[in-house]
Amino acid sequence: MSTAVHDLMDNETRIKPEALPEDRPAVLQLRGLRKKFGGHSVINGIDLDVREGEFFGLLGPNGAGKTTTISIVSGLLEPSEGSVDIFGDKMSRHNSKLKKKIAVVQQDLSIYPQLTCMENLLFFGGMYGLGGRKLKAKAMEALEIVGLSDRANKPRAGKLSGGQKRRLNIAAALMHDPKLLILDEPTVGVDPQSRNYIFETLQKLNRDGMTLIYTSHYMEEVEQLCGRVGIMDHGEIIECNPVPTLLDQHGQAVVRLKIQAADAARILEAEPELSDSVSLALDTEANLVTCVAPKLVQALNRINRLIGDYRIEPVNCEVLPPSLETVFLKLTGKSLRD
Amino acid sequence: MRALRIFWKDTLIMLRDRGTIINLFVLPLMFSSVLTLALGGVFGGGNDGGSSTIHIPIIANGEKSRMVMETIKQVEGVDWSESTLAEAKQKVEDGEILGAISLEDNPEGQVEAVYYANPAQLANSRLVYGQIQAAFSAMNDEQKNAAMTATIQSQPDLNLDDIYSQAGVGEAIGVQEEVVGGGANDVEPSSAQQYFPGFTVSFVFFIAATIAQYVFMEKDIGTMKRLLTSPTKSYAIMLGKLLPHFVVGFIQVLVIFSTGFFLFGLRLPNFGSILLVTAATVTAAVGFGLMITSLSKTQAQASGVATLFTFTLATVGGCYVPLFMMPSFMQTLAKATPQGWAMTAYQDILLKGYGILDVLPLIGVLLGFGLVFYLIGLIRFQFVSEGAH
Ligand SMILES: Nc1ncnc2c1ncn2[C@@H]1O[C@H](COP(=O)(O)OP(=O)(O)OP(=O)(O)O)[C@@H](O)[C@H]1O
Ligand SMILES: [Mg+2]
Repeated sequence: MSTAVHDLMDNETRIKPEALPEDRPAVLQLRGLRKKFGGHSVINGIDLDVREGEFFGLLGPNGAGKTTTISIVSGLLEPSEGSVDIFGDKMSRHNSKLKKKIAVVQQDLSIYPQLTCMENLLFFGGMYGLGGRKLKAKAMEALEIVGLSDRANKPRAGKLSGGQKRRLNIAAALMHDPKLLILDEPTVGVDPQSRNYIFETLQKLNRDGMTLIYTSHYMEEVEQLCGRVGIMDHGEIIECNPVPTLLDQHGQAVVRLKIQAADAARILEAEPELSDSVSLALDTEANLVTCVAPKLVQALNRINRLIGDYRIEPVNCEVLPPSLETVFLKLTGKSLRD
Repeated sequence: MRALRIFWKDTLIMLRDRGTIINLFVLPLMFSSVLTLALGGVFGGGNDGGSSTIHIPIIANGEKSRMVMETIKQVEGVDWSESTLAEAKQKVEDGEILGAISLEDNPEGQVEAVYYANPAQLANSRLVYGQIQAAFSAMNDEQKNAAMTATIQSQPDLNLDDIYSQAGVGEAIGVQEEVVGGGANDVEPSSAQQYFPGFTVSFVFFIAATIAQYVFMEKDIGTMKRLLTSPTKSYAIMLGKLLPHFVVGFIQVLVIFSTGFFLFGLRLPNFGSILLVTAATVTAAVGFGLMITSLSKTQAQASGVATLFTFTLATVGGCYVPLFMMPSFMQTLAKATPQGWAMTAYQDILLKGYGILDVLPLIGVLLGFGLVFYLIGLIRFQFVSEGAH
């Protein structure tokens, strides 16, 4: 777990998001979505409904197909099979009317480093047909929302800090008051402070009625923000439920053991395949042995045996509550950040 | 409208990008100015006559003419060869040689000499002409001396005036000069007339690298995706991305030619024709850039290819070394490059004073090149690259 996320978790001021009742109209409907690149199949049949006012999270390891799904939803790519309906209208590359209602914050920063914040926003607003005084007012408003008002005209975007760039990246998506906002890992490389600022911004937008779809590698982010989460792996959504339901159904106990580098090397040599019925993983860099089991007792037993077998002097040992991370580990067999 | 916003955005970025300004404006200005100064002597107004042998055909008809020819042939530094009038004139007209001299006995028993000069090489050509005249007068002096000596020996009493008249020596043979080739005029070709249009054409095509740079920038920093998820139509994006480079092309021509005009005495006759040729050249150059961008996978590849082709084609097209100095197969090869046609068009206007109608066919060829470039470029262009990740 990164320090940034730790800080975040310590900030226990968050409100738990709630899943929305089923009777809200669907904003986004994916049916039988498939995408192939060359002969390589990347999206393997996705069905998904995102309802109005929802804050939906899409979780998946690297290469799961999150960005590809978002590219199809936003009309950048045509699907090989299946359909995308947004607000009841079929999405395609040429559906300009629909494109006005949605906004996408791409995974890569997509702002002009040579232009100032204001120039960036005026330009992107212009691409949505805004002009004149309204455009200017919207740009000020967007800067205000992401807390960059004092950076409007200097420095140029390229000279902003990483977190500020990310915030400008989000502001550019808010220029035309989208009804559906899709964010693809918008907080990569952002310091905790900027991250909290972004979260508050997004939560406020959601409270004001905007529907959001959010992808991330950070479980804690998704847990904190999203009412409902889809877990994606190998181009499929393998589980889709409100966070509490996911935790109830798939939550597992986790015990983390920090050991000396020499001990870690000894264990790895003796047991290259650490995993057995009780999932055990060794993070070589941090010298962390993570043990995940359905029951806390099983996990503790396993760790205990490891200490006995190898005569380890542990540096530290902690017991973590069930979280999305463990849900994810159980469902995909992978840790999210490897 | 959105195309104009994209145009303005790219212009703003370009104005803040010193590298582009240096590439597109400073480099060609530097090259054309320095080379014009450095090689001023080799081109018009020069006095070294060139160390390589100059090839001048002589056509002689009649007995006296042949004698005169033998005398001329003694002038050193020139490879005098015999030829036929038609062939020699054609070579002068094609710009292959500096000039040709024709000698003919007229019915009065005198030699009539005509020197056919190459208008594009008037200054050098006239050097040769001067040498021929010098040879004639030297020959005449010799004859005079011989005749006077003979007269004095036979009639020692005669006074000086009588000796002259008795010696019966005519005036030196006057050489008549004729400039061969269409639109002959008195414009003195200079190194400026080679290098200012040369580096203009060459660097207008260097826009290709800038086009690639700005298109790939848009793709690489992800803003292309943002544009594509907005309601902006792809044709507007394309137009907005290309438009700044048209403007840049025109400004390049304006800046480089003005420098030539104000600082190096480059004459700019027929401004309308220059403008039209510029429009066609810039159109072809922008198409060329689009094509290279579309056929490349990365910016580095596109820039490399653009640079390679820009400067190779400019060399072949006669931007750096005048075409007439090249062997004939190279001159033919030049016709396969848009740069060659642009160069010919500009020089036709600058040297020969051609008008709009005269350069219209050349403009047509340039636009033809442009059409092919745009077709390939537009067909192959990818807004989002599938397959690469
Ligand atoms: N244009 C493309 N051409 C070929 N393969 C592609 C292309 N785009 C994506 N892929 C492949 O599709 C798979 C899914 O990629 P995608 O970017 O959607 O994953 P992701 O879930 O967003 O991953 P990450 O968390 O790393 O962003 C990957 O294996 C990727 O290599
Ligand atoms: Mg992604």
